[in-house]
Amino acid sequence: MDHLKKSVWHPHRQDQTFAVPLLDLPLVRRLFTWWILGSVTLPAAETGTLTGVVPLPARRTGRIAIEKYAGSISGKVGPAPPVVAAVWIEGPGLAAPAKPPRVSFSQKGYQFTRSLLVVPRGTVVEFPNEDPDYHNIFSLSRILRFDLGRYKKSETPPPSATFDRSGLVRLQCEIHEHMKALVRVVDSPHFTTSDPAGKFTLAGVPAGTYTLHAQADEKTLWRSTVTVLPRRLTPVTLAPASPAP
Amino acid sequence: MKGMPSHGSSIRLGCFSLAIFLSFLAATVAPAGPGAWLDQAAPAGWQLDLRPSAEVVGWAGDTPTPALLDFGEDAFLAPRFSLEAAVAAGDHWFGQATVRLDRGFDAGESPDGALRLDEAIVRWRPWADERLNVQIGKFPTVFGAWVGQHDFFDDPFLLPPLPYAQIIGINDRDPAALAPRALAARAGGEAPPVAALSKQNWASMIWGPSYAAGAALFGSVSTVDYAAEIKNASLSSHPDDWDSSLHDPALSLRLGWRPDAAWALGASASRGPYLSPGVAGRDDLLQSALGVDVRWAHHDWILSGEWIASEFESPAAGDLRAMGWFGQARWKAAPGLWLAGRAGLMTFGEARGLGGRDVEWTPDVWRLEAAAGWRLTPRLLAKASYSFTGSSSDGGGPDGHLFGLGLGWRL
Repeated sequence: MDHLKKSVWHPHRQDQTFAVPLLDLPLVRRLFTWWILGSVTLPAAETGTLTGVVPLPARRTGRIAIEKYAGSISGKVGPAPPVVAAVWIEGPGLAAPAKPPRVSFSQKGYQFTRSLLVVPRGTVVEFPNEDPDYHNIFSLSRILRFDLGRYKKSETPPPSATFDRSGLVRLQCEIHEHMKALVRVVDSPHFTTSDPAGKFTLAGVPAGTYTLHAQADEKTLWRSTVTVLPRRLTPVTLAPASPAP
Repeated sequence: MKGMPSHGSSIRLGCFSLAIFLSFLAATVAPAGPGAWLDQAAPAGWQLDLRPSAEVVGWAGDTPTPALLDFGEDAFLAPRFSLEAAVAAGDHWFGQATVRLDRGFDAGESPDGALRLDEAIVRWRPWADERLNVQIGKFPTVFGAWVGQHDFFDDPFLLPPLPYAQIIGINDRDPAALAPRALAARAGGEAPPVAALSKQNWASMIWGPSYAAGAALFGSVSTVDYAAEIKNASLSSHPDDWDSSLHDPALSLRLGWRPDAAWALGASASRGPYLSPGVAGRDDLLQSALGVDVRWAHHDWILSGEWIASEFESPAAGDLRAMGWFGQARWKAAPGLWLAGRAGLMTFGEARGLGGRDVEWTPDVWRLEAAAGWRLTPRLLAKASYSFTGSSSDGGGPDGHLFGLGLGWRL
C-alpha cells in the first residue's frame, strides 16, 4: 500500500503529481472506476473526508451593472457569479505548499468568473481578460494592495499578483464598478470552495484533529474543531466565529 | 444677495439634512448593510441601489477665481453631499437620479447652500446589450468624451478641462453685450473684462457636463459608439437654464470608434440656441460646435485630449469664433496613487467692432494643471490639484494660481 500512500492526490494541491505504476492493472481499473464515478480522491489508508453545509448569507445584488455614462462596455453584461464560501483546515504541521501553484482567475461578460477564489499562501494568480474592453483589477485590502492597470484581452502573459499573506483580499475593477470578487488566501494545503448551496466536501485530509474554517465574506466566518478518521466521511457542523484577518 | 441667509436657504438646508439623514439611514438600517435592505425592498426582477456620497474641496488662490468657480474670497470651502438612486427593472428598464446639496453647482454660486436635482433619467434598452438605448430626462451631454469621467471619483482633476470650465465673452442674458460698441469697449479696456464680471451672466464654451434636459439615443455596435441628443439648452448654457422647456432645442451628436481596447476616438457636433430662455431673439442666435476626442490607455497610463471649435452667432458683430483644446495624462505611481497633468488653450477669433474694425472679443486663455489622487480605501479618495491660468489680456484677465484639496467618500 506504500505506493498508494505516496500517490494520494489532493484535488486542491496542484503542486502534486500522481504516479501510476504502468503495469498495476488492478489499480488502473480502480482509477478508471473512480474517474467514472466522478471521484477525484483516492481512499488512502490515512486520509478521510469532511463534508458539511455552510449557511451562506443571502446573495446581495450590489451595484446595478449598467453603464451610467456610455463608453466602457461594448458587449452584454453577464450575471454575477453565485456566492460561495472558502473552506479550509488549519492545524499543527499544516502549511501552504512550499511551491504554490499558478492559478487563473478570468473576467468574462464584464464579471469575475467566480465570486470567490481560495488559494494557498504564495500563489500567483493570473487575471486574463476575456472581454473586448479593458479591465483594471485592483485591491486595496490591508493584506495585499495591488493595481494591475488597464489590460486587454490579448495580453500574454496575463497580468498577475502574488498572494503571499493569508487573509481575505477584496478585488474590484476600476472601470466596471459592479465587478467584485474575493480571494481567500489560506496557510494550508487542504482547502476547497462550497457550491452555491453551501455544500462542501474536503477530501484527502490526513487523519487527525484540525480546525475547519469557512468564510464567505469579511463578516461571515465559521469555525469548527474536527477529527478526521481514516477512510471515513465525517460530517461537520459549523459555528459562527469572529471575522479573521 | 450673495451671502445673505434667506427663508429659501433654510428650506434647502432642511432638505439637505433630510437627504443626509436618509443616506445614513440607508447605510445603517439593516445589520447586513444597505445592499440587503434594498434587495428585500425590491420587487422580483428589480434591483435597487442607493448611494450616498460626500465630498469637500478646499480652494485657495488668486482672485478673480479662474474656471467657473464663483467666490470672491482667497479661500473657499466647498462641501457637497450627493444621493444617487438607481433602479433596474429587468434587463430593459433603468432609472437613475442624483440629488446634490452644496454651495453651488460651481463652487461659490450658492454660498448658503442649494439642493438640486442634477440628473434624473429613465432609460429603455430593447435588447439586453448596449446596441440601443433610449433615454429621457436630465443627463450629461453626449458631446465629447470628458463627461464620461466627470464624477469626483473618476476624474483625476478637481477642475473640468479648460473648454468645459472657462467664462468667455458670450453674455447669454443680454445680447446687447455682444454689440460692436460693447465688444470694442471691453477690448479697449473702457469696460470691465469678462473675468471681472459676475459669472451668472456669461457662458462657457461648454458648461461642465451640461446637465440639460431632453432625450437621447445612444449605443455601441461592435467597435462603434453612437449618440444623439435633443435638449433644452445649448452646450454653453448656464446651469440655471438646464431646467427650461424644450421650446428651442439644441441637437448634439457623437460618433465614436474603439478599434481596440487601448484606443477610443470620437467626433462630436452640436447646434442650439445659447441665449437664456425668454431673452428676445433666442431662436435666431445659435451656438455651433465641433469636437474631436482621442484616448489611449495602457497599463498605468491614460492619455486623452479633445479639440473643440465653437461659433456663436451675434446680432451685429458677426460670428464669434473660438477654438479650445486640452491634453491630459494620468499615471499610476502605486496601487491607489496617481499623478496627472493637463494643458489647455482657448483662442478666440475677431469680431466686428465699432466702424467695422476687428476687435478681440475674448482674450486667449491657457491653463496648466497638476494633480495627484490617493485612494485610501475603495470608498475614500483624496485629491490635490494646482492650476495656473494665464491670458493674453493686459489686465483683469483670469490669470492666477489656484490650489485645491479634496476628500471624497462614497458608499
